[in-house]
Amino acid sequence: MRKDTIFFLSGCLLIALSGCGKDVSSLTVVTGVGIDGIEQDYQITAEAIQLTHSDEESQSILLHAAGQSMTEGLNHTVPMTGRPLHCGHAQVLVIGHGTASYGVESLLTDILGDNSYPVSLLPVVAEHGAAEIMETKPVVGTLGSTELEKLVTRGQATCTNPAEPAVSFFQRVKAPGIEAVLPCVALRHNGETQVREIVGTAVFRDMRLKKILDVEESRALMWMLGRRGGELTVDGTLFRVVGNQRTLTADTGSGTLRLRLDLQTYVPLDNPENWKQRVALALRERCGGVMEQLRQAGCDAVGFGNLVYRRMPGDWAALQEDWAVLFQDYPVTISVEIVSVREGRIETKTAGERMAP
Amino acid sequence: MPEYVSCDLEKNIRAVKAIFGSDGTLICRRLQPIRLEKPRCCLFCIDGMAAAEMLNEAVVRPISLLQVRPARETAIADFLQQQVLQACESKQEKKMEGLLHALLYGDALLFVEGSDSALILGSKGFMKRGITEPVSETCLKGPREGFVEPLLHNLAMLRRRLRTTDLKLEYFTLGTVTKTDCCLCYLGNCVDPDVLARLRKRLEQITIDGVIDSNYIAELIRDKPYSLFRTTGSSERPDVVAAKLLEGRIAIFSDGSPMAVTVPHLFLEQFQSSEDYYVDVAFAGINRLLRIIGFFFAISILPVYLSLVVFHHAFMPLKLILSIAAARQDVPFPIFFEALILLGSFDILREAGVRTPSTMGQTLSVVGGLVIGQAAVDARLVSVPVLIIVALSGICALIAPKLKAVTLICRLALMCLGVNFGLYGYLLGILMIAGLLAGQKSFGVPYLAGLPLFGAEKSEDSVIRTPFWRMKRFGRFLAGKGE
Repeated sequence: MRKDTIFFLSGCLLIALSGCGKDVSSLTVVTGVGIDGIEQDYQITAEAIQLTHSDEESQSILLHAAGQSMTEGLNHTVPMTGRPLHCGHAQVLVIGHGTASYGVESLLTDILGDNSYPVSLLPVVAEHGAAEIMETKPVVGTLGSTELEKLVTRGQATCTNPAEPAVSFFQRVKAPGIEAVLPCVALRHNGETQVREIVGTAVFRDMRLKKILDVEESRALMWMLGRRGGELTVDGTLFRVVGNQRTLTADTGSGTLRLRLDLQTYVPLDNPENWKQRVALALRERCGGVMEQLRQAGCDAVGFGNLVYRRMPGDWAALQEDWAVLFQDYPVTISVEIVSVREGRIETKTAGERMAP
Repeated sequence: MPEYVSCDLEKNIRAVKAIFGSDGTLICRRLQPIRLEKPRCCLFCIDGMAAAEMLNEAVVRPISLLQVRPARETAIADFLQQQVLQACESKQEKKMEGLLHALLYGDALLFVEGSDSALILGSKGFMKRGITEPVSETCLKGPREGFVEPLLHNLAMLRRRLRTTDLKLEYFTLGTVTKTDCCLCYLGNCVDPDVLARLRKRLEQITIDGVIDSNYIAELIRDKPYSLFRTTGSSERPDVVAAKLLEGRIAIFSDGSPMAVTVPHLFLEQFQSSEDYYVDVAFAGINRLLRIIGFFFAISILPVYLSLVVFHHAFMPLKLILSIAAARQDVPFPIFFEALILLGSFDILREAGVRTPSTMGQTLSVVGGLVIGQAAVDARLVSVPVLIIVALSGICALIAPKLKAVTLICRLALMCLGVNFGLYGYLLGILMIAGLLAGQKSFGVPYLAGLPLFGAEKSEDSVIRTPFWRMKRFGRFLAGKGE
């Protein structure tokens, strides 16, 4: 056969096959997934979008299914819509309390091993069941997952929760000597309706949920993790944390956590140095309280063990098996220093008065 | 047909009449001085092509009123040419073929009794179009005159801009039937001798029955006849051709065509406009960049869109994916054919717009843009996002009109690759196009010459135009390419 004939036939074939691809309109777009139950018996609640010709009229639908893994459970929802699932735009993964307590390793391994889920998927832990979180109607808009994702992202900016994508969470928990934390979501009454709310931080040990810290404790934990942002009120005066320099030192016997914070307030302070000491004291107490809770749970979320592992790998080899138990009695010294407090001042002089000799 | 002119006037008259047969446009006028018996002459011209008034004044009248005999009977043609006729353009020709060629080109022939040569009298007087602004290369600033169909007028326009003896004009004839006069123009001190030799060789090899337009020549001398990218340029503007000659290029004119073919033709020339040189340098640079971006946008936006919608959903934000999916809910066709239908409609409308009289253009745009576009969306035949993307692609394609055909074919090929193999297919297509461009030469000059890849000095007038005062090699763009 001549070369140009083959070329012509290839071109024709290419054009003829060009209509065979399934475009996005033939898919079910999943925006969020809730998981309850334990390994081999997961209960999946997936929020998907029912598309209509008008984008504004598109409604979210909830698909319930069971499966031995999350992927299998999601695949069981396909016969309900008759369309293949598109999970590439799933925004949140709500893990039920029971599932998180049982352990999330196999769940995350399943998700991270499948490239149909986005790397930006945000896992959150439900205070009770994931299904009830997914089933609650959003306050604004039609997509509960989008609302939850915005809540978590906003909380991250205001330093109230440790939101991070599933892939970062997994990498963190797999690192030696450090435990991971996730945002915790719950339902709260708002008049006659129920709304979703970020209620704190879920603390894990060996990928199992151990404790849930409240919002104030979460904020202190975030500062201990070196994040900046968020606010604290001391003696009725509100301060915003605009800078945070964390210094962590650790050896096998004890650890030190030193925070150097820059604050901002819009209230004129009459004696700034005095205020610095009062704020530092308040913060140290708060951080100490959180550290005590972490120690009781055996969750080294701050990463003292990780520092020992990196600085003294030989010693860590002997400690790593019992680190969770050892951490419960691990002495930690917390020091807080307020480096600067920026004040918002109101200029009382007019321009004319300033220019006057 | 006799090969040479006979001394017998009647024999010559019979021969010419026999050649033209029943052609009613042939005018045969016998002439003889009123007061003398000799010389007896016969004037031939073609009705409508020769200037009758000029012939009356310059030929008929002087011969009729002739009162002096020639000194020698044998040199009668010389006597008439030098002392009687008042035509400034005249020459003697013995061969019948040359005479007929001149006669058919509007000149008059004067056969004289007893002379073995006839006189060709320049009397071209056929109707011609006035000099107007070229429709295909309009510009807001700069010269507005364009070439016309007669070859000599075009050469005069060119010479007016290049008043130098270095301007070489070489005539040649092409077409075994049409015998079209063509002219090769170049600046002797600028042109690359290799390019000139290559062009001459290709022109010598042309065998064709007729050359109606200069594009006939362009197609016959092109480097790769089946290549998407043309290696010959064309222009209707004397200023553009003059500038190209200054850069060391060669122009080919053919009689009857207002288009001059220029060689070598490089890829970046497709994005150049005459206006780039008549406006502010920064503005010109932005415009040229926009043309380049517009071309790549025109060939890429639709294939990339198809790739994203069919394969790479995760690359799009959720809002966008929902918007696209919602818009396509009730559309019965696969997205590729939806795009194909719209592209076809767009190109049909464009083509119809070119051929439609200007008075109907407004109606066409209303019918095409509003009625068909809106009705197709309302009828769910096409979706709005595809309509927008196709319109964007179509408008971008108009930015570089010289690459109209390339855009059309490349876009279709990339669409097929994109919709079948996703962005990998699209990138493969782009690489193939880049390979095609890199491997192509125009008369020995690399087709991508002038790109900034080849050094700043050689890219003074490429992606953007540098100011004239910084162009060190201005006027020698191609000369010395082998350095």
